[in-house]
Amino acid sequence: MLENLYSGLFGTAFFGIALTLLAFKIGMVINQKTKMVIFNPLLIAIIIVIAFLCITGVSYEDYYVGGSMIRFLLTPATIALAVPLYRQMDVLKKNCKAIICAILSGSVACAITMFVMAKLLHISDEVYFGLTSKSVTLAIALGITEELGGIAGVTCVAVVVSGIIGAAFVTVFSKVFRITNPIALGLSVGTASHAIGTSRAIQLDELVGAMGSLAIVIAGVLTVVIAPIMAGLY
Amino acid sequence: MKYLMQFGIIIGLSLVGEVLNAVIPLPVPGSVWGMVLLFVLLCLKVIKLEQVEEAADFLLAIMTVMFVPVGASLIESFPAIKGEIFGIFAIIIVSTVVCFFVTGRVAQGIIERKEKKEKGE
Repeated sequence: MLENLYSGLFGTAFFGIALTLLAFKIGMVINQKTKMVIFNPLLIAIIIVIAFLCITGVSYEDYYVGGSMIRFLLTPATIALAVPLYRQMDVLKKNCKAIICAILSGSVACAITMFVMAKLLHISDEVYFGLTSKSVTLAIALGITEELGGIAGVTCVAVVVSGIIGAAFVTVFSKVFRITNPIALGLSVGTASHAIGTSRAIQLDELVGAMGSLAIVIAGVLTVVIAPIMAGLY
Repeated sequence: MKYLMQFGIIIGLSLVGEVLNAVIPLPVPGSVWGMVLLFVLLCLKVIKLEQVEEAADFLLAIMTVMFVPVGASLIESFPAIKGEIFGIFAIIIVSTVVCFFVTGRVAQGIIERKEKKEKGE
């Protein structure tokens, strides 16, 4: 009886899907109640799922039967990023030079910083390969990590933390670094903190948000080129 | 039916993207191939915005949830990275701030120079 209950509850894909959705719902409620950037819904959801698996002893493999079905949607969702990019074609054309130069130098500076620090701190290959793509939106970052053979879990946490830093400190950085132009600020947020930072930036100013989502896609594509080069040198 | 076609187009591009990833010897994920392809097709007006818009917006709206299973995989990889956790966080924080600073200053500089030039003329 008990064994049947166990396999019925945890043996099918529905368990993983239900746990994922429930954990995310809880994350969203906590985020809305506290209104604090640190309580990012994704971060909370990941912690809840991990805590659940640790406490109940259900294996990650059992969870991933359903989890993989949700993950499967990531490829079509990444492709869908082309739609907001296309919608902003006019802004892109008008500020082409500033946009490309800024995102390129930002991405390269980020890659070099990570490379030097990883060398100094003696970070292992798999971890470094998981980190290189971290400023990029997670869908693209995971693709890069997979291609390089890095640890996907590291990528995930790194991407989320980078995002939260940008979202939490966007106004502080804007003042301290004297980045006052909305286009420049949007590009910064999008390049350094992808969608999580941008979703916060949209609340500040629509143009900042639009530039942010533009930067997400362009920085993502640039990193597809930069990350393997840095990984090859490591 | 409309939604089915929209998802059909995006799933079709996913398939093409994965094929390109397998055939072309570059470390470019299939999803990025698909994205670039969709962007080009939109620009060439082979695919119209109305033909993919709703499905794309839906996928983007629920995208964050898709990362939960991957994030939870840390439970499996944690033993392997335990010793490096301090370094990992140091790298994430410093590189994010550097990236933010460099991108913003470069963009601000170029835009300001452009504005000055326009005023001067």
